[in-house]
Amino acid sequence: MINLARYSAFARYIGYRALASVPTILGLVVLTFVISHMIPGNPALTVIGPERNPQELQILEQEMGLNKPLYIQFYDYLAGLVHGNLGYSFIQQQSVSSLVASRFPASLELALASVLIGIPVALFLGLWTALRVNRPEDHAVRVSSLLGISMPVFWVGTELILVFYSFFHLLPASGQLGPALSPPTTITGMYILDSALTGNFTDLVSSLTHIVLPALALSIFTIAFLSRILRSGMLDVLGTDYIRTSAAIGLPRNVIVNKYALRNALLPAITVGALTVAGLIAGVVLTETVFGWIGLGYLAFQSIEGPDYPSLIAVVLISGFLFVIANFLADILYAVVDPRVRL
Amino acid sequence: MEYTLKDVRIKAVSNLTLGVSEHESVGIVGESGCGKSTLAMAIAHILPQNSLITGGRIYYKGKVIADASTGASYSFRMNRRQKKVEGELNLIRWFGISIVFQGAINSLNPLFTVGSQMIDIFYYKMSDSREVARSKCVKLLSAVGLEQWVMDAFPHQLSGGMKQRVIIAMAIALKPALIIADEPTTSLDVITQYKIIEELQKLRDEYRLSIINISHDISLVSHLSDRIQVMYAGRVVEELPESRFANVQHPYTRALIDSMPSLTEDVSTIESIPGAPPSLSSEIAGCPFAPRCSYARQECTSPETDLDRVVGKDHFVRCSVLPFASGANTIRKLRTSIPRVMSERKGEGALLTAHSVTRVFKSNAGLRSGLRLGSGSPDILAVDEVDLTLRSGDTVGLVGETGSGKTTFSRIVGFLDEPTKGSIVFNGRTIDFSDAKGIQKLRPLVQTIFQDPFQSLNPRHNVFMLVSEPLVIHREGITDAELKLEVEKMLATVGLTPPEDYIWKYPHQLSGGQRQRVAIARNLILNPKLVIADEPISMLDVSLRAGVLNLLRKMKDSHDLSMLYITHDIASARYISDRIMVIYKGQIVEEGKAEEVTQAPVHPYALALVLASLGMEGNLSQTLGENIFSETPANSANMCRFAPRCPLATDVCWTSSPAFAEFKDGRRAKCHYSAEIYKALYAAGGPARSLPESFRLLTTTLRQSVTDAPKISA
Repeated sequence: MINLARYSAFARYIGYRALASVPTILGLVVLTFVISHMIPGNPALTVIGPERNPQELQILEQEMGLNKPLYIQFYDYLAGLVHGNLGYSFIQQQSVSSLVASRFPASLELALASVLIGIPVALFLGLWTALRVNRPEDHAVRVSSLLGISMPVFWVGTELILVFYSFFHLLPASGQLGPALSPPTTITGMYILDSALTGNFTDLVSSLTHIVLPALALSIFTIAFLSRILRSGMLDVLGTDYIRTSAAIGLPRNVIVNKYALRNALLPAITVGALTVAGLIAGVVLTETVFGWIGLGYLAFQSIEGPDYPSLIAVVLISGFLFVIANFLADILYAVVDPRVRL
Repeated sequence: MEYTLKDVRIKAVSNLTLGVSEHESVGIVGESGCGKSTLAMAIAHILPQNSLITGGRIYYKGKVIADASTGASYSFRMNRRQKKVEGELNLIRWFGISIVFQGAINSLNPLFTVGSQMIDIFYYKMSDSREVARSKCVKLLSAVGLEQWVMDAFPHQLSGGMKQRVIIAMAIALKPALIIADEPTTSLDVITQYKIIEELQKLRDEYRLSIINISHDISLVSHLSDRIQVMYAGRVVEELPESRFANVQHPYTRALIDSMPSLTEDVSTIESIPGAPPSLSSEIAGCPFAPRCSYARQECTSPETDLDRVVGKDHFVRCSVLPFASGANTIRKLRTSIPRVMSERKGEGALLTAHSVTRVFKSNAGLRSGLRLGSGSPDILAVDEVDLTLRSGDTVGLVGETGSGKTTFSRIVGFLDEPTKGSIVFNGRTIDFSDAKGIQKLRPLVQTIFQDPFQSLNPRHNVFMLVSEPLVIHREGITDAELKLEVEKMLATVGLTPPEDYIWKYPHQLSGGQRQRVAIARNLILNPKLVIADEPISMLDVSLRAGVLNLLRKMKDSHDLSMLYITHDIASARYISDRIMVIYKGQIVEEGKAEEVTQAPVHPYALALVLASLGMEGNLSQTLGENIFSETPANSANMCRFAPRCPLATDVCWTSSPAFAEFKDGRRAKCHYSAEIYKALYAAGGPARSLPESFRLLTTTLRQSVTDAPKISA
């Protein structure tokens, strides 16, 4: 009976959180529309190029719907969004939806790989240093994480390429797959997963070796940032009265640290961690450019260069959306860990 | 025992000898920073890493458990030598010695259910299976009077008292020989404190426990302990058996007792102790209390005089003067009683009136209510139709427990919050809460002193900036020279003399008492008409409280202030107020002249408060019934809110909400039976002379009323 009430309260909490993210998404949609229409310059003009032919320009403007009143344009844009139609990229000569669909899995794959490396390492380092406060190991990790936070990813990436590709010839420098290989049959769009699923061993090895460097470059920030937050969270918790009580009880130290303290120390890390992960998927422009990784970040880079407004808007929308989802998941995770939030 | 703090060595405890025998209860009394908690943590071997034992040993059942070589610190990482020591320690921890820490609110892990935290004790320390452990825990909980559902509750779902009982249940889980109770009742409501004390007493006899009671509250310790040690600046200054409590000898102990307002004494000026406890980072020669002691002589500062003197059987005092040795004077008799002049200013107009002020907090604020989704929890009625008339120059004490709505009400009176219903009339004008500008104009006239001077002062502002800030805001065009003059004058008025010693200091360089004085100066510099003092002394050390209370009393006379004094401590309210209002769950249950309400309360709740703060012998549950500790909420508007806890409650109380019964001099009480109680009390010719007398009277009245009750309800 009590449990039932508890679950329904939890379900309600999730419902509220989900509802609360609706206005954010709406705001995001409106904002991207407004900004894209406030950028000076005629989008049709950039597509058609400098040799302007007024007639062609007019036809193109009509095709792109630029001559309609703003609210109709907004309606079209909304209707498009609802149907999953993100517009047409004249520069890439294909619909933005299919462009995004082909790029998104690559970015997701890279982000997942870097999370798989980053979170366990950050957890370990955070705990390890918290238990060794002010000892040489702690200072060493502190200095390295400061470096990790402050080094720009394009520099780290270049260094990694320099060391592991140019110097040791251990790992490939760019791309997702060896040049001679053809991509595995598409199931998820993620090369590692697809090649493993289809039993394509050569592709699997090649894609695995290709992902190591970009994933590493990407995870350094996560590691540095999260491990600091975990360390300070852990230190706060280890100084609390309830941990002191557990110590006075004489519970085994691993129980105190790994059960009682860790869960509390995770709380501040959840929110930050979720946002970092969202940032990994959405904001990897530099990493993908450095490593020639054909994902969303690379698309963003291309569309800015273009300039290819429909693609750019799509990338902005998707990253915004990912942040909202990450925030929502963090809220839920928070409520799972902390009973005080489930109201 | 020493701490190292940023390379400064702090001698937290020095040369302390303490022995506890089986089934004995020893009390340790002292202010914060006197080393009492350090001692407790040393015994449990859980001092922080930066601590060091520089001499001495701790024995448990004849075995050394801590000395200079082992230290008494706790580390989450251990070297091999520590591991060996720890192995033995873990056989003593909780099996032999357990601790009930100060602040139960923080002693339970917020992310785990109470049950799982209790079960872990048996699971990891006794290797019990979780099922066996669970049934043991249920039994333990019932031993401290908690029901089984508490097992599956998270700490935040329990009240403070319940949490503390859980902690006590955990402490007795492995049947230890010794429990160290470090401020077990601090931060609990007065009546709940009693519950915990009774609980501890009962368990002590049941399990033949030895108890070390650590507290800043000397009267509480004296009730709980067979033997008392008084600590000051890391050393014991007096040790005495409970039987000689009325005959304490050390000037510090006397000063501690004398500085607490009491309900039994005449309301004269309580004595405040000047200065603040010494810093422990430098060696102290001679008696550490000498600089604050009014009996100190030249020789007190020479090291040779710092010795124990035997003044009675098992009674040692570390004082070379022993000013109280000759006469067998009991405490307080020494003091000259200055009868209090009650400010009778009839005819003077009301400065502030509150008319049935009500404040409701919506539990479904924001998005949820906007979408009309509802959440099942009802709105919270924090303040329910409270009336207040504050004449200029008057002080009204608002007394209530945590969550009674006293702070919410004070925020409304201070124009910081808007009432849901009702109105406030200030200086003859009704306050329009929507008129932000108009309220801004009134702000200088109404100032609030907050509870915690450690948080209410900006740590990056010095005293000058803090005290001058209100003037800068509210008096345009004031010059810097004028400002400095005003600030210095104000600092001198609040007792920070000479002002130039304080004016450039930052809050962290001041003691709690000095900080609160700065806060008061900051309030008074605007010449307010009304000061709202929200628990101004509850965060301060005992020896500093009296000073601040006396200052407030002086200020309200010299500055012609009206004051709303908010507190949970009815004795301090009596000390400072002309009238007292007792608030319970948002409703005023009794109000009247301070003397009358505290000497002859006619509402059962006010009576319970008075009895609890009297620290009387016997126990509350015997006098007022077990229900007084009940946490059952009143679940209907059509009943007396206090009925679930009331010793007098009859059918009427459960079915109809009482109206005010009015008596002489604006005295009134919200109880179906207050007329009977009033009659019984005042039939004997006015309020009884002494509290014990009126207490006897009250209990007979109570019994009578209970027997009479059926007739009334019929």
